[in-house]
Amino acid sequence: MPILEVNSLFKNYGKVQALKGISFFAEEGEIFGLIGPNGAGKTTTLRIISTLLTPSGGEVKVLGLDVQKDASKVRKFISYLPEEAGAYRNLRGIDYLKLMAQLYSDNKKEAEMMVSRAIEIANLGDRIYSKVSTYSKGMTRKLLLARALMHEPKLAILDEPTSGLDVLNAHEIRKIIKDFAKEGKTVLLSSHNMLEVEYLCDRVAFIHEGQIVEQGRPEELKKKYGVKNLEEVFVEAVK
Amino acid sequence: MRKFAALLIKELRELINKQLIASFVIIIVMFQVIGKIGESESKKIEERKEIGLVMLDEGKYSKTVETTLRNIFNVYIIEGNTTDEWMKNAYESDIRNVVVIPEGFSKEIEGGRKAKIEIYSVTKSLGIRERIQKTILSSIINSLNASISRELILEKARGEDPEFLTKPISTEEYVYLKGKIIKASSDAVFAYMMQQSIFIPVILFLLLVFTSQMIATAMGQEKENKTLETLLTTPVSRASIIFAKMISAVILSCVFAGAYMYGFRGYMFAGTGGALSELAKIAKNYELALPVQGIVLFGICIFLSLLTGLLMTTIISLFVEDTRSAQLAITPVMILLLIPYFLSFTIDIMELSPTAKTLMYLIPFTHPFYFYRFYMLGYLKDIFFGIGYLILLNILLTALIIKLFSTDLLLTARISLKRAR
Repeated sequence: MPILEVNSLFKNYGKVQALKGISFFAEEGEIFGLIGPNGAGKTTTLRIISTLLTPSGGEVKVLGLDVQKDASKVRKFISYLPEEAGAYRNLRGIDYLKLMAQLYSDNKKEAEMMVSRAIEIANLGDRIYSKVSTYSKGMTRKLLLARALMHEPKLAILDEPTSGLDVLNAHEIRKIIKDFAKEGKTVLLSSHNMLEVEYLCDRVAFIHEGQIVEQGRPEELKKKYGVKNLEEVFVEAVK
Repeated sequence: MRKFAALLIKELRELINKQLIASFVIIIVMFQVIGKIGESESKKIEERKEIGLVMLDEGKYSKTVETTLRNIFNVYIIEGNTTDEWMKNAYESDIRNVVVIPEGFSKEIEGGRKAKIEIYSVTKSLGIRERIQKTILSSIINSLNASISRELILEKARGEDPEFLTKPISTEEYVYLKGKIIKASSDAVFAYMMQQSIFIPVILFLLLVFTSQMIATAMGQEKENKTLETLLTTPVSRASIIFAKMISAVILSCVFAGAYMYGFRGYMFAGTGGALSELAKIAKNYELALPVQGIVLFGICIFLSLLTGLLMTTIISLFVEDTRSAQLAITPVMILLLIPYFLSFTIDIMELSPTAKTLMYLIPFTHPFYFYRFYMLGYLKDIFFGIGYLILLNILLTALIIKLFSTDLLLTARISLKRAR
């Protein structure tokens, strides 16, 4: 059974149709990339899967649970990292992790394990004891990614995980995501960076103006369109 | 419960910042300092019963005037030959009132004609001391008239009681309230009741202002710092998230309002201990203070109206985009609060037309503002109507919040100063 199933998903904002019946799925241990330009509907899709928005039509299932009807159950198995997410600036990095661990865990021991894991993922050294307000963008992003992965979610939903980061920080983040998927966990990420997606993802879906125009394994897609990279696949697919 | 406690602590930590602590300290210190200054000024006023005297007449009634003044004030004889010199000397000696007894003063009275006394007020600062000194002037005139007329009666109507002739009527004041006859002046009873009526709205007003601002700011910060979306996808109920924000705001605003009122009391009642204790005696003797049952009802009423305000602010703050727009967003609640707040000082709600009265009753904050008066005057039906209305309103607002929290509006609707510009 796929970890994530999206079937004929629609979303309207008033008269604007943001999603026009998209469908895709993600298997266990897979990194699935949702690729498209700004305004294509990537974030809307991720927000619906994260139980933040209600769809106008279609269905989304995580581990067989409907994200609308069983939203509170779904939240136990997922984690969502929004594109421009921040952390509480008055807190120290460690306190932020402790707070979030308390919200995900059922007891103190479990929370402590989550914090230890998050500290390891964030790899911020002594700066984990500094206030979040003193962090650089890259440090904040690593802290937030550590938060997203610390409770070992079945499905990690990452919206533009390396957006706005320098080369070194982006590289580190990609490595963390790869390692996480190796543990058998599923990652759904969005990006408009085709090279990043090609490096990270097992399978991808191209989204354009609220519709999925193509999906499959990067190698298969490049072969199908007879091009060298995913960027060219996208250009050909939306023609 | 563990998750809720974690959220509550997080909210408190977010709200307690340097600015909040600084304003907390400033409020206490500011009122205390102002109170102390006021108190020392009051003491000065009480101590400094001094008056200047210019004697241009040597007759016996002038002596009566001088004796009377010396019984009441510290009398300073002002030197000089002209009005300018007297005033200059009084000004330099810090004397605020000068009585001038002109030449021929006694002769005029002896001849059965009204004699004139000149009283000069020396103005230096227009401060409270001078305002109070001016009230002393009327007591000067009364005292002088009483002394001289007593002397005239003794001279011209031998054997008669001057006290009786000058004041043939004595009065005893009573107030009829709640079926009881209270032996006290209506001024005193009214003053006590006004003190109670004013104090309560001020507390509620402050509580609501602080709490609303905190809730709106907390929500604005979540959106501004982009932390709300993450929080909403955690396995914590939406109700826990919102109630943690509300309860933390209530806790802090109670502390804040308590500090404010402590300072405010110190300021308001500095140097008025005597008058207050007199009022307190009347209140105790005639049950003007709320009994236990009244306090319980008042507690319910104030809690429900506070909750209404919080729920209203919460609904509006769900749509704010940042902390600046959060401050703007609480304006509608503040307007609803200000209407009964100001009207409670000036309007007798029972005298309003049925339409105006209904409109006032629909404003949730009217009920605690008028509670004391309603209770003391026995309008229990109005009190119970108010409590019932507030319960219903809170149920509706809570249902609305839960509904809104489960819709997209939380993330898609926006109130923003940036967009408004």
